[in-house]
Amino acid sequence: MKCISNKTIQKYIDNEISASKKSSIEKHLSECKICSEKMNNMKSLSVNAKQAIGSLNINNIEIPTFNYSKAQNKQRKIKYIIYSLSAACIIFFIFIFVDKKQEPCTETYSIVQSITWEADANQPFTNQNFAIEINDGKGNNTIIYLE
Amino acid sequence: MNRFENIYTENYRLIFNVVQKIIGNTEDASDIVQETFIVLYQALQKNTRIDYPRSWLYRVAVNRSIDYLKKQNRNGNIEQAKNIATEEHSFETTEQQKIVQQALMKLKPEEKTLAVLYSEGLSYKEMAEISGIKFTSIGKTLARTLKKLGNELKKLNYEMY
Repeated sequence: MKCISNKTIQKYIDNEISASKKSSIEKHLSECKICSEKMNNMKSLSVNAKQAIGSLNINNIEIPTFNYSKAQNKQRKIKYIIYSLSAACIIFFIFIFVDKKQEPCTETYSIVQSITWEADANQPFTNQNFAIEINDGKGNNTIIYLE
Repeated sequence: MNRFENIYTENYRLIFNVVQKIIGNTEDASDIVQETFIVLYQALQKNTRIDYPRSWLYRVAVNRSIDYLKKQNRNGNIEQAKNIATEEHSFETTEQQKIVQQALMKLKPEEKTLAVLYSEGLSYKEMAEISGIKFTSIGKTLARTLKKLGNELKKLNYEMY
């Protein structure tokens, strides 16, 4: 058997190991001086640590009366927060909905450029007779003449 | 006496000691323990099923203690926390106890929690459930934590047997 890991030794010390594994560990410990020494050190460390931390226990603790009103107030406070958040969400959604309804309707206009008569390239732009035809998408055409 | 009052009386001292050992401060420990029992009270009011109240209390109290320590660290109050641990005890402390608190302060919140739960004599399964550390990692983490704690205690000349 290979030397035992710290994790396995710790589990062995704390009796958190299966019976079959325990016997093979014990066999190895009886044969390996290094592991046996390591196990003894870790065991003493565990005992010392438990004792040291245990020494911080306070024995004369007075149990205070439980503050029921504080517990109930806290519960009410949580309810209040939940209700407030719900109301805020509802207002927010209403706002979005109403805001969308009030949006102005957008209509599509298309401008079709058509030359009604031929332009005279020798004349300035202001002297050309151009017409702009506006189609509002519903079949209504408006023609604006540019002079 | 109702169920809550029974649980409160039976477990208050136990939970208080665990919390004060983790955070190293008795005054804030009182607040954390009160908050823990408020959470239990509210859970019982809502008819939440709690089969093992002690484990449940341990878990809530430990989580709140870890949050407290992390908040202290975030706010850069480590030195302040150390001072509280060593000087401002409302209960009398011996030199040896101060050394243990100082050594514990050197551990990470999760390591400290594990060390404290171990000293309470809990099983690996219970420690895993309360601390949130994987059951399979408990042995390894514990061995490493105890070694670290042992080294700190030695540095501070704690009398080991």
